[in-house]
Amino acid sequence: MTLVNVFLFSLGVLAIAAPLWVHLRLGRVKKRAVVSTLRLMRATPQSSKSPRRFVDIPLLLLRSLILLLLALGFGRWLIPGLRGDHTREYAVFVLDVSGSMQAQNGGARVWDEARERSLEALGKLDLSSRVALVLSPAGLDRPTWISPAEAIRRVKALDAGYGTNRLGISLREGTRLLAEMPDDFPKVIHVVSDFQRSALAGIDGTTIPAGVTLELTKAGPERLSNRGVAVTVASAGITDLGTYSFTDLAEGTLRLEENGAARTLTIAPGQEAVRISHAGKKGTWITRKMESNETDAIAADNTAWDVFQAQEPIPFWLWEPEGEVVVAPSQDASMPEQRSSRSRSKLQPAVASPHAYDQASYYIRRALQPATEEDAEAASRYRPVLLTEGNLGTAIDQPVTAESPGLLVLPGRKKLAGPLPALAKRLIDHGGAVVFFAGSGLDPATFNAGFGQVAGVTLGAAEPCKLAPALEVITESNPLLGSLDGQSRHQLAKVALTTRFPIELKQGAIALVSYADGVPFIVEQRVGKGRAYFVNTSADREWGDWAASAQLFVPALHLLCARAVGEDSASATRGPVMAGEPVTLQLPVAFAGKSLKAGGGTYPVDAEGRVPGVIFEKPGVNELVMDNGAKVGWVAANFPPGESLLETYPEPVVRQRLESLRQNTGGSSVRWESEELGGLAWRICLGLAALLMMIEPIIANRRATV
Amino acid sequence: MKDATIKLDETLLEAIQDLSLTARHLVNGFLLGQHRSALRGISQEFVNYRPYMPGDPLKDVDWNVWARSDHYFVRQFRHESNFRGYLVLDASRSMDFGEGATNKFVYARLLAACLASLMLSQMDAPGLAIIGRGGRVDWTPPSTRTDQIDRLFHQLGTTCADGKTTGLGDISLLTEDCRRRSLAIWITDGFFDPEEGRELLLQLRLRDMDVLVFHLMHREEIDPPFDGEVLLTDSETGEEMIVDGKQLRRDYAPRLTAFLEEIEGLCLGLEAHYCRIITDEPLDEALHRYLAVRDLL
Repeated sequence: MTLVNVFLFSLGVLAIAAPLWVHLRLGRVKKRAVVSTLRLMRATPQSSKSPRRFVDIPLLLLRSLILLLLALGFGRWLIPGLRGDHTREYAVFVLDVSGSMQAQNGGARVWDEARERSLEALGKLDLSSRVALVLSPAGLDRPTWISPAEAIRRVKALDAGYGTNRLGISLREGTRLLAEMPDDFPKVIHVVSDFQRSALAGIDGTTIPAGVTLELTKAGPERLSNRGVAVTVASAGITDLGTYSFTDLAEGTLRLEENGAARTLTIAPGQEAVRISHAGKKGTWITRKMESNETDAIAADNTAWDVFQAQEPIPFWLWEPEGEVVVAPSQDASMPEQRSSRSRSKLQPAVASPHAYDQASYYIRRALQPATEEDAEAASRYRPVLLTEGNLGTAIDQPVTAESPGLLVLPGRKKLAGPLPALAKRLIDHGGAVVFFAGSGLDPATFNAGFGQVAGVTLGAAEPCKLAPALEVITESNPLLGSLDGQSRHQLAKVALTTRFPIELKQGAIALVSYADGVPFIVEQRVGKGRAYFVNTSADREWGDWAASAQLFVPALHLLCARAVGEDSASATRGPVMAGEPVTLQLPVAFAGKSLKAGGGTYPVDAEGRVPGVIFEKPGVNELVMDNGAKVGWVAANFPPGESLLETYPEPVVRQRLESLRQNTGGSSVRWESEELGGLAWRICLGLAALLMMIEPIIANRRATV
Repeated sequence: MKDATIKLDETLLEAIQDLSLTARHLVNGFLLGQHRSALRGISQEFVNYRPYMPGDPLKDVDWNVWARSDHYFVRQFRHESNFRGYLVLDASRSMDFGEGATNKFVYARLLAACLASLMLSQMDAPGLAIIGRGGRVDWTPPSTRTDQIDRLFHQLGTTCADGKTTGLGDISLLTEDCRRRSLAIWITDGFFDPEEGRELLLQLRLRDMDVLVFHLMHREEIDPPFDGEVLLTDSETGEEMIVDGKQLRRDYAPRLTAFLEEIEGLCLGLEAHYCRIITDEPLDEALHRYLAVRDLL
């Protein structure tokens, strides 16, 4: 009890006053006696009745004790110090407010259970404890040390968000906060979470200092059924692929709403994604909303959002020698308008037959336009036009227009037919581009003679490459691959490349990317408006693993082709944005120094036009507006796919993972909430009160009888 | 006389439920210590001779025996009583106070039974009037018949202290029967209306009756044991009163003294004998007092 807390003080006063009042009330006729006559008696004067005097002090003390015990027993929720398990500690509460906490579990959300458990744990703390609430994912507010009562108030007002639980980051924040506090009280990190597998993904780099106890509270069941559309949008920009994948959607339909026009997509059994191109009328903002008709644990992940600025389709020639590739008919009947816009004979997606196909051209084609038989819709702006010996003459004679292919991609093949150099030179002269790939079939002498001047390189005899890492460090400032994220650049530099050509650059040619020993890897030659690029490795698996690694090959090829056709890939770059996750937005440098309003917050734009740490709290489409009212674009935020899986680790696994984070190995300081000893004090209070309540009438009657 | 002290043994009283047996037992024990001569009186029934003692009236000397034996002998005769004893028992509800043998009514019944037994043993005629029962009087006229004691004991054994003090009762039947000198023994706790008590005593005295008042008091009525605030209930009226123990002890003593003086003054004013008895005291005090008064008659 404290005088600072008015409520508890009032409760204490009431606990003292109530037994006195009862005692005085009952004390009026507490003793009775029958006498022969009242003739000799004189009634007690009125003055002695008020104020009443306390008589039978032992009985008063007994009644006071009973009420006090009852008050203590039932007041355990209000008086944390009463409980046996109460502690005075520095407590960091890591609260999982990720999207998976919104899952419905038997009519209630997992978050509701987590909140109750959190409040229960907070209620056990001594009033003098200090509490820090660390949300995972962290919002815009930075955690500070507050009182348990304030923490309870905040947790009551807290609700689950839509982000991804980053337990490792939250634990690091918790240990940082605890390091600020002295060592006079125990330090405990309470983790209240559903412990999704995704939450523990980045936990290995975390260290729990000695003396810090981890207390785990699991909310929700081991597994819930969720069949969401948790969409991963491989958006325009680096890859220029409109790919919408979903989790655990066996079959059914998706309702696609594109700028208000709705249609239904049928999902076949086993289908994991649909691909819809971002092509359209250039410059138009297109908003896509995809909804599943599923009813499952999480409703928020049944809707996916995408917004992009449409780009014109980019047809390109892909050299395929005659007789090595068969052309498959179109399988898509749901997109007649798009199908009719293509040239059936030339723009149809080509599918290699299993017994005869060129691996290099196949990798190139699938990287730039990964259409399949299942969803024959174009998934990117790149529309391959197969160039064979049969239609090579037609291509040369075709007039160069805005709709005709302006890009030629030549895998390193033996057959570099006679008219090909003429076609390449014609394209470059008209502002087009040619991309050459090396390969075992490419004869250096033939290439140097036919394409050396156009490509700006002179090739030597092929040589083995034993460098590790194979490529130089690709920095963020790299003109071609700098827009890739750091991890992708790092992995790309380490990719296995076994063979290469020694290259001599001609006048005007520059190496965009080089091997670790300085040999050019990608060379750019600009001739007027035209451009030529030479990639010093094969597009198949003969000279390395790069082309076989879709995660490294596809983005790099998209960046290369975008550069080749004159697109500014950096300005259009934006990866998938997840709700609740901080992202860095790239704006034109002209907006440097201004403020951006997005997702309910205002963020400064740095000198390079970047806006770091932008958080969009909820899934949906958000408009980006500068503080002066200028509209600079749109961003779609989606429910994190990892939060839709709803797969949790068993308790022993979580415990073992977290115990492995401890600096000292002596004893386990990780415990589950269920291991706590229940407070015995309040039980003893109530038990004793019940016993005394049974005894009190007996004592009272005995003392009242004269 | 000390040897004749009658102890009211509760265990004895419980063992002997019959009131008559109890009374006879107590009276016989009491009489063992009495001087026999006191029981001799004037009568026509010869009992015995005894040698002449100086001081004996000469008229009692049997001169025929002297003529034949030349010794002086005095003739003794059985006492023949002309005395009537009226036992007036207060059966108001206030008499039912106290626990066990110290209960005032239990004590009063036993006292009445002993007196009746004592009277009959002395050839006196005991009668019984039970008053204080809302004006109703249960009246058993005096008699020396051998079955009189049984009637009295039955009457005493079947009477409860459940009456009210208001209206001591019409004792005209009792007073009209008083044609010779007699003794009225009133056993009461004194909690009656003073005027009614005075009227009763006056009627008895006007009939030339000697009156002996046994005023029974319980020990707790002398010294109330109350502590703290107590709700007291009047046994007769049901009236309740809250009193404080400490204050009661301060106020009660003078009120009790005044009350006792009032009762005693009432009795003495009408030339009645007054005897106050605490119910935890031995019974023989009352019997001695009776005999003392009896000898005065």
